Amino acid sequence: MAARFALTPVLGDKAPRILALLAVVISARCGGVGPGLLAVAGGIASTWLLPRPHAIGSDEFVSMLLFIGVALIVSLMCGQLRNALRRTEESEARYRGICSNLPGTGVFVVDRDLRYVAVAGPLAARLGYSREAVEGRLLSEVLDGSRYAQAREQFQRALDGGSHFYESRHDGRLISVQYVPLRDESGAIFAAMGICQDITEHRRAEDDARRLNEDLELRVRDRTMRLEAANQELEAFAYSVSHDLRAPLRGIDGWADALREDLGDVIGDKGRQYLERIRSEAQRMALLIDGLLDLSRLTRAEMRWMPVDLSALAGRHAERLAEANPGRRITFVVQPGLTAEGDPRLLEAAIGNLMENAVKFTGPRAEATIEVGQRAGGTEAEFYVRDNGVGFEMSHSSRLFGAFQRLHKTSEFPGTGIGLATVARVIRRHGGRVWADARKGEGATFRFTLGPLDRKTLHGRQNHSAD
Amino acid sequence: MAGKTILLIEDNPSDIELARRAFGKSRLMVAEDGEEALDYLWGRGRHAERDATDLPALTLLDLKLPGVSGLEVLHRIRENEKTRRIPVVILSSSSEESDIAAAYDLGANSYIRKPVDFQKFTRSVEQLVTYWLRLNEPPPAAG
Repeated sequence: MAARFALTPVLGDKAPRILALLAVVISARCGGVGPGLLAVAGGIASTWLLPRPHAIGSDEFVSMLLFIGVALIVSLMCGQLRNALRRTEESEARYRGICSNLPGTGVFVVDRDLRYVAVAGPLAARLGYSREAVEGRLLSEVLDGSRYAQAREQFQRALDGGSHFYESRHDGRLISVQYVPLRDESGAIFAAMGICQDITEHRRAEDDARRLNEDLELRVRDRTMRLEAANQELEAFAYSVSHDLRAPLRGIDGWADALREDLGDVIGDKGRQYLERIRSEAQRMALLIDGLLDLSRLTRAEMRWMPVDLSALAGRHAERLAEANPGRRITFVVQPGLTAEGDPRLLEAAIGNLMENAVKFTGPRAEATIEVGQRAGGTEAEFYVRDNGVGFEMSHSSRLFGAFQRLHKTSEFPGTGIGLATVARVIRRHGGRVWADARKGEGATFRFTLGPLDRKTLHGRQNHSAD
Repeated sequence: MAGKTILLIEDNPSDIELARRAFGKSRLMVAEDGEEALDYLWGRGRHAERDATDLPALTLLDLKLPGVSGLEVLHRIRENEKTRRIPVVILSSSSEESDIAAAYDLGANSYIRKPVDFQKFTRSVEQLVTYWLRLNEPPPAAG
């Protein structure tokens, strides 16, 4: 009011309205729409109620209405401006709050002039860039030397539209910064943001994991070497078994024969019988050694995966076995179209052993029947070799596949007890299972699988692609 | 042809004795290690007095020998101009595929596994003698 009287001489009779308008603006800007309206009402009241120098004319009334209109609009606009500003401040505070609370993170935003417009996050402070000291200043004012050159290059790349990572060291900490361009609604880049993270621990863990891995690899290599050495030793052992154990057997057999030839008369029939015993024992031992050698060879040989025609393979064995036993009546029934993925040499040995067994244990039968086939259905291929031979007691079947294990007397069915161990080993190397069903006096069926099909197909493919 | 020599390279005394029995009347020269066998073939060392052009009609070679190995002996026989064509039959206890392959790679003419059964061995020897000394056309002198 005092201002009004003071200013009246300068502004003339328009002074009260102009001042009232000013009061409205200030009230609305500071207090919002309500106080603005109150100021408008106050303005009108003071114009009308305060001592009037003259009566209100019609033109005075119009200008009063104009004042009220303008004052109302100004008041509303100021209120809205004030609200908008408050919302912006709230939003900024919210975003800053988010950035400030990102654990271990620092966020730097620079505009196209490379001026810091926002700095937030605990890592920013830890790296020595407080909001107060940095915001509003140019990159060149905040950073010096090589650090500035680096930051300028990275921010510039982001301002040019690139998004990338950069790693640098600060006081022994490893900091990874992701630089990204910030675009407005039209897609134009108005700023670049650098998001820093302290990856020191992360990298240390990675390094530890890598070191552990390398260590593990070294250990695997070391073990492999030792395993290979052991394998070589085994090979050397098998070799020397083949050579050194057979030589004395040749001697025993040879000298027994020499004794029979040179001194047969002296030792008489009984002596000659004993000599035959010695010789047959020596030969039996030679068979055992050969069986063991075959077994070790099967274990050592590298697997060669390929499609194998099991029907053809069984057919060849059938022919061979029929020829080897001319005095016997054996019917071989081989189901056509049996195929599998596997090592042909190993499978040949396994099926050969099963069929030889079948021939042996059908010995007492006038009419022997030996079938080779595949069971229909099931999730994995299951093959069998069935005979109508003497069979065996199922209670002993657990010992069936062990080396040197025999379920029959040597006098009845000669053998080394290595055949089925060989079969088991071959099947195991293929990842399959082998078992038997039998009843004493009613024949036996040996069944085997060769492991899951998909794995073998995979092996097969690898083989083919290597070829 | 009975006068022709068979060279047996073998270190096991029992095997040597039994071989002598098995070869019967054939003229058998025994070398107990690889070095001696090469001395005999090339007419040097202990066998310097020998007429080195008189090469054995058949050389029987054991693979496992003391000192120079059987395969090495074979290699040297094949490398030498004078002996590169002589028939060499491997007579070994081993039926290892790697041994058989190596022997053939180095130029062995045949590979026989010594059977434990002495009578079988005697029959094998008779067949060897018949084949290499009577049926086989010997190689012309080389070198």
